[in-house]
Amino acid sequence: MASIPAVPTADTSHEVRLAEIPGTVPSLTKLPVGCAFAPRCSLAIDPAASNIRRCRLGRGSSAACWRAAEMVTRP
Amino acid sequence: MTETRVLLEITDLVKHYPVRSGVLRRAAGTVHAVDGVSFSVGVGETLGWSASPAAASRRWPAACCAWSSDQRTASGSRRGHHPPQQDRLAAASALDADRLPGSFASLNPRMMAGDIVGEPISVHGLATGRAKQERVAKLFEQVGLRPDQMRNYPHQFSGGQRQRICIARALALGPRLIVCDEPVSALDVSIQAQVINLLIDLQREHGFSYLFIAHDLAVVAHISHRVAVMYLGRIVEIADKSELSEIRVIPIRRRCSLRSRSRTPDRSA
Repeated sequence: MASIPAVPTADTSHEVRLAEIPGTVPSLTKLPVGCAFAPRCSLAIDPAASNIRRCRLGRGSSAACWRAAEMVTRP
Repeated sequence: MTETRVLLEITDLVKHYPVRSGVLRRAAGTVHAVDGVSFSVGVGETLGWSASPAAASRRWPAACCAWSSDQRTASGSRRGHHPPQQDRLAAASALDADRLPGSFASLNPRMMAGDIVGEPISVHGLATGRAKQERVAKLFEQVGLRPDQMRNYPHQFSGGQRQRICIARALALGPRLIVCDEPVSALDVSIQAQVINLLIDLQREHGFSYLFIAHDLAVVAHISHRVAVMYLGRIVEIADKSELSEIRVIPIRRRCSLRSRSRTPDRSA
């Protein structure tokens, strides 16, 4: 979710700041337990720090996110 | 964007590379990397370049400052005040900020980050000792690194941080023009946004110009005031950004796929 507004398109202008995702990509040798994106995620909830949950969203699509189902129903 | 003051003007730039083959390395053909290209960059302007994927055509802008000095106006006011040799040096130092696509390749692995950023300052004799250290520390802060990271080596930084080191090194001489050659193409999407925002913020603060080269037209269009699209060594289109997004008919632009990275995946397409 967070990475979509971070991608520039031809319709975005340099006057508008891209949505930055704070922090850096973790080192592959020191991956955190649980969801690797949780430390950088503004929507992270507690269980994400210890576990990864794969959430089925529909036919053929799934997301490794605790809150994926909520995000889909959001407008 | 209407620019009255021109910082860099290039007329009829030509760069051909011989293609060699066989045991004797005879020239078998020529790559027309740049074939009669003219353009100008205004003060405080970002000129975006979207080059065709031919690798050869990406190396020329940094090289052009070395051998097209007679066609270059480094700055309207300073020209003529220096003998040619000095003018070349001044322009080269202003332009030596080119960054390699993989920022790691452009950083000496045996040098500490602080020394890498401070090197152009020493080479040009602008500051030494403590004054230099302070300048480097300030540059580190400007690009969002901590001054205590000056003693770290390149491998201890992440990709985005290494790009910041390159940006700090580019800023060290207070340039008027920075050539950015694929500055974000090797970065993760989440880091790419940080670097793009940093480049834009720095430009607002210092008012320098960018020659921004990238294959991703969406990135180029986002950061630039004007955009040039190159194909097989020639500029096929150069336009203000606002016009660029309106005209979508030129076939090469379709190939560069301005809209290839739309924000939401469209299943019907």
